Amino acid sequence: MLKVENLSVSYGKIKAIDKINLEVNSGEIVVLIGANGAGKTTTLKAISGLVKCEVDSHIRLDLSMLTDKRTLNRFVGKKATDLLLKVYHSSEVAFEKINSNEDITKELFAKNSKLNQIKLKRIRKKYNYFVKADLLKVKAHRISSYGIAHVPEGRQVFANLTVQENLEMGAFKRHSRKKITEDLEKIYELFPRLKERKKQKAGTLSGGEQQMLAIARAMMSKPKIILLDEPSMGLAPIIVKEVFEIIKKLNESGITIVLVEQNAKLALSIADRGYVLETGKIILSGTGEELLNNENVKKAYLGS
Amino acid sequence: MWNNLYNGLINGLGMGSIYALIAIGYTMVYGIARMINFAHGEFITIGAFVSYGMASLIGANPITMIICIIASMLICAIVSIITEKLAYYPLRKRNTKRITALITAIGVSYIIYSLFNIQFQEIKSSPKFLNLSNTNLTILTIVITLVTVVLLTLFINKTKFGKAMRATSENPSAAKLMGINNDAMITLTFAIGAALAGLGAVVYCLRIPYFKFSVGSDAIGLIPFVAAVVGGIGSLPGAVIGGFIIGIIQQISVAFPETSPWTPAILYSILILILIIKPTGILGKSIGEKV
Ligand SMILES: Nc1ncnc2c1ncn2[C@@H]1O[C@H](COP(=O)(O)OP(=O)(O)OP(=O)(O)O)[C@@H](O)[C@H]1O
Ligand SMILES: [Mg+2]
Repeated sequence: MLKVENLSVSYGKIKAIDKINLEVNSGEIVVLIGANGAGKTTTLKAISGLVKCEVDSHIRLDLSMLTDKRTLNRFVGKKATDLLLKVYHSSEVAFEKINSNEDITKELFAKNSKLNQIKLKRIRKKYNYFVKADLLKVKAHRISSYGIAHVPEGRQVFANLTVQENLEMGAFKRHSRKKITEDLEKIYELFPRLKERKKQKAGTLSGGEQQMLAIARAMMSKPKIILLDEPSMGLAPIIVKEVFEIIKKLNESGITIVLVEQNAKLALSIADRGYVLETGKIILSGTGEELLNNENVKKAYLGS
Repeated sequence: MWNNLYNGLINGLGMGSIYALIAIGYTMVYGIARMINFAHGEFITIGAFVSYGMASLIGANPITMIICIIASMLICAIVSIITEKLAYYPLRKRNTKRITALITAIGVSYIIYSLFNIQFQEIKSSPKFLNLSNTNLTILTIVITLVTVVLLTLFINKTKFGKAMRATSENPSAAKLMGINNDAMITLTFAIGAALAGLGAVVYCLRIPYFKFSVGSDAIGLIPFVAAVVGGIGSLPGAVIGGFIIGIIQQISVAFPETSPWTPAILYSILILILIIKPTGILGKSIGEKV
């Protein structure tokens, strides 16, 4: 669903990441491990548009980003969405059909004569613009509309905003107040401690609570993919366990996870796949289990 | 003696509420863009001339005053958006040092000043919208300022865009991740600040019989900036409190013939004194609430 190709980022003369390739499939937990300064944070920042990438870097999304009506809506507009769903029932099928370039007009005309070839072309163009486009060319503040949420390193909650306001900011790009309120309730169910503190300024929360808030805030944008940057940083083991439980729950609910962690053992134990970064390069990749059993990984990152 | 003090106080409250309106612009722009917009005072000039121009077209009475206020606020907002896009935004995009933006703002200030200097050399008499006693005028001015401050506070604290402005001001890169367009928030802040200066300009002209092209840069000058710093730059209530404090001290000093010539020296001494005692200003925090 997300493909990073040949990605390089430099800060001045320092090359932070150098031509890395990685792939994230729908529904996976993908873990990025590596020593301090390996370029993990930079990789996530590149995906969410916070740092400039070098030419020839690419970040692409594919059809599997389009799994619901809301996302489809965002990409082709409401009218076209309704029409396409009427005919094809699922947004993914709808787009696969359009994209395959077969003549689907007959099928569509049978249900609705309003959709002609020209409209179809326009939908396809919009689709290409949004989904085939390189995420690198998309401005950072638009990335969240593509179904990507980023929980940054060090949590970065808005300390002077209340817990609830932080969550509202997570839903900044959404419009239905009713749905936002519903989702707030769901979030509070999942994080009862945030509910107790909803009127409190986020800066007064404990580290663990702030991490929960940062994750909850990301969820408020209804993402398809969540990028998590060291969610266990500075937290007591028991809280770390809680955070990982939440991550598993999110993944079970269908959200794809890209997880950056220092705590390699724990992270790899929940990972479908993982990549090992070393001074800006991917030196190893494999399933979570493979990496856990790899001798080099054991030596360098698992402390055994 | 008591009479002087009374007049000084009344004028001080009147001028203070005008300074407060203008100081809000300095403080909000600083809070979100971390820059001192030294061109902010020119919006007084622009506002005064827009209101003068409108009034000479549609007449001067309480109803046209409202139209003139709206026109003045609107034009100031538009001009500020243009200057922001032309002068400050390109700097921000290139991540220049803060001093660059500061010098640019001073430059923008002189450009607007010169334009008015060339275009309007003669003195204009202020539109006579109202016929009020000094005390009533002061009450009206205070009411206008307080209503504006309450509305602005509600906007910043209760609306989606107000909250987004606070988010941007606190952590622009996290705000970006939420889908907030920081540049749009900064533009919005400039526009609001300029609109309030436009409002302040019309209200100020109610207090003075004449004005000319230098009304923003000389007559009002940097006093609202001083007020914002005294109140704690970045703090909205600070700007209001600072505005009133500076206004009252200035006008009481002016009311006595002995201290009148010393007024600027007194004002700036107090500025220095407050900053020595509390470097962040009365309500300023070193990190924190910045809108
Ligand atoms: N803003 C910056 N300016 C200059 N160099 C930077 C900047 N951010 C990161 N770097 C450098 O880029 C390299 C990669 O940094 P990055 O933050 O991506 O590492 P990381 O793997 O996330 O490390 P950590 O585990 O410590 O968080 C490091 O050498 C770092 O010094
Ligand atoms: Mg990092």
